[in-house]
Formats: sequence, C-alpha cells, structure tokens
Amino acid sequence: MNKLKLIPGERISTMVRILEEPRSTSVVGKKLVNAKVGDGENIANLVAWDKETERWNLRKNDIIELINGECPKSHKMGHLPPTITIAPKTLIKKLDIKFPSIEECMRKKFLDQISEYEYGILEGFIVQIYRTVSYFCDKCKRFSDEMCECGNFPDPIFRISGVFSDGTKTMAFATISEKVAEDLTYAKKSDAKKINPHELVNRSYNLLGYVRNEKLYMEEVLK
Amino acid sequence: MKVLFLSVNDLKNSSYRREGKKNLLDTKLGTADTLAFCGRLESAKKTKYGPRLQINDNNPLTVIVGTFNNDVRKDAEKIIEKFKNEKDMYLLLYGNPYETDQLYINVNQDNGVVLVDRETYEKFHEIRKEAAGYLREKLGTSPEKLGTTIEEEKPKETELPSELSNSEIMNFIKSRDKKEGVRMEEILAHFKNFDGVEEKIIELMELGELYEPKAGLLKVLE
Repeated sequence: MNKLKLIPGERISTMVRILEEPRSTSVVGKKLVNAKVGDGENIANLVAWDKETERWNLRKNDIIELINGECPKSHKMGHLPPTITIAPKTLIKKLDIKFPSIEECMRKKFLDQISEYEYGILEGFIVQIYRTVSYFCDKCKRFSDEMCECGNFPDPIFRISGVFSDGTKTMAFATISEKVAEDLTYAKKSDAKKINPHELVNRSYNLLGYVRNEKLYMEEVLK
Repeated sequence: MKVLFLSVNDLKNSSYRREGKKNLLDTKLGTADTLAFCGRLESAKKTKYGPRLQINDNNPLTVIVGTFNNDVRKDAEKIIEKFKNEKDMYLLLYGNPYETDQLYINVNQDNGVVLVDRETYEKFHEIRKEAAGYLREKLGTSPEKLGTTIEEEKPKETELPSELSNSEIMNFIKSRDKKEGVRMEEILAHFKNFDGVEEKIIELMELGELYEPKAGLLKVLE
C-alpha cells in the first residue's frame, strides 16, 4: 500500500488512521466534514463535501483503507494544506490491523524532514518577526500595505509572519488564521499592532504546520 | 537566513568564510550565517562600539551588540541596566560570524538579544541537542568521526580570570599591529575572559602609551 505522499491533482490509495474527532461545518452553503489523518510518516486533511459527507461514518482512531482519494488539482498553486478529498469514486474501508497509533502519527519531526505539501509537528523558536498585522486587498487579490497601490484600505488581518527555526532548517512562516495568531501571541486582534516582538521570540513553540513554496504555514499551536 | 542553534563549544573546529556578501561559518552541524546561543549572563558593560555581553553555557562567549543597529543596541543597554540589580539572567542571542585574526560574533539584527527564563534556556539546549543529533547523522559527522567525545558537552568549571596587566595589552597590540593598528574589537575579544579591559585601554591612552590613528584602531606610541 502507498504511503501518505500527496501530489496535487493526483489520486491516492493508502491506509491511514483518523487522528481526531471529525468536524462538521458549512462553507459557502456546502456541508463539509473533515479530520486529520496520518500513517506514522505524514499527516493530511481528509475532507468530504456535500453528498459525500453522507458516507462519512468515521471516528477518531479508526483505521481506514482509502482507494482513489483525490488530492485537489487546485492545490497545485497557492498555500493550501495537504488534503485528500473523498470523491464519488473514492472507496473507504475500515480495517482492524496493527497500525501506528495516534501518538506515533503525531510525533515530532524536524523542519528539515518536511517536504513541500507535507505537515509536521515542530518545536523551535521564532527568530524574527516581520509583521503582526497584514492587509489583503480584496480588489487586487493580494497582500498589500495598509493602503494598497490601488488606493483601497483593506481591513487589517491579525497574522504573524517572520522567520522560524528548529536548528535543522530556517524558514519564513505565517499563521494561517487569526485564531492561530491569537494562540501564538496570547493577544487579541484589537491589540495586534501593539504586540512587542520580544514577547514572541523569548520562548519556544510546539506547532502543527505545513510547507508550501519554502514557507511554513502555522496551522495550530500545540500545548 | 540560515540559523544554527549552537553551544559555545561548537565554535571549536569551525571555520569562517565569506561568500558574496555573506559571512558564513562552517561547523560540524553545517553552514550558517546566523548563530543562536543561549546562556547565563556573566557580565554586561557599555563600550563605545556597543554593549559588550558575556554569556556562559558551560563555556564563555563575549559578543558586541548593536554596532550597526540602534534597536538591538538599546535592547542590550536595557539589559545592562537590569543586570546591575539582578544577576540571575539568561540571554538568547542571534549573532553573525566575522573573522579578521580571530572569530567574532556580532549581534546586529532586531531582537538579536532576548532575555529568557531558565526554562527557555533549558528548552533551547534540549532542542539544540536534538537538532545536533539529527544534523550529525544527516551530514555523517558523528562525534566519533570528528574525534570528539560526548564528555565535551559536560559542564566544566569556569576559570576565574586573573588580573590583566597593562603590558600584556600593549604586547598584544604590538604583536598584532602590522601597520595601521589593531581593532578595538579584536583586543576585547582576545582578552574576553578579563574584566575592565576597555577601562585599562582608556587608562593607557590617557597615559600616552596608546593612541588611535583612526577611529576604532589602536597603536602603541613608540
């Protein structure tokens, strides 16, 4: 059976363990169920949309064989996380076999061991802070200054960016959501501009993150 | 930027090189332009080139902070003030290598000097050792292959510096002076285990034994 190695736009057949209780939400009117899965080497998001959510009868700790899961083609570009989508042709079969435990799947890795479009649990230090607030211009669809070149004043986003290292590799990083920025800084969005970088570089961090285009995206601050 | 987490002891057997505009240090753990150290603050003094901080992580390391960066210089000056009243302080440093006759570590980046607690100091060295194990294995530079032993990592007694004489400073400057004089940084780094070196140099200048032909360079008046 193949290892959990994802390539955007390609199908994957593999065996994984469900690492957390699935979350059910609604995105732009579509039902979505997702959970992190792992095989002891890598971690990915397993996602089912709309009709496919009806087939989702998976719980934390289940071991499954996944045949013809799809890694979204749209992930070839951008900075989206490693993902397997359950498509109509995807088969899911529960297994009762010896398989790496949740702890083994969630074991720490070195940043140098994480390749493009892979997740890892990391421990290290923030070496530099570039920004604590970013601006994304909806008109130009890109990050901008406080005033975009087009003259628009985008709303501030609580987003920490800088440089992270665990001693094996050094990489630019950014938080992927305001919740992650809050967890990282212990601050609220309203105080984002007042954050003293010293308060962020004076401690180590345990994180779940993934790599896209030589950049680390911090998805969760672990305790 | 490529950062290596190091102990002061890791600087042994390292070699400096310049590649383009980058100052690099080749170590047994790889090559880096930025070196991270974490240790207990042993001494902190102002010099005209910037605050001089000495940390100890079982071996002493002296750095000059903020020669070219006012922000980090101010941070280090605050640390000097704090150090007057509080002696149990730990620092995390991000420095850049630079070598003339010997290796210097200069701190010139924002947040390059960070006060940390004891717990973070211990965590830094835990992460450093794990990273070192991984990098040694990856690079095929195991301690055995390098002829070093794990014992080198054990704490050792810090030698107490003895008194430094004026003639020792003058002899050092004479021996290193090829024509234009000797850089202040080089003198301070050479006598890093002694306290009050800068004061002694100023005293020697007042006595007319030393002079500055150019800013930052010192010569013996003969």
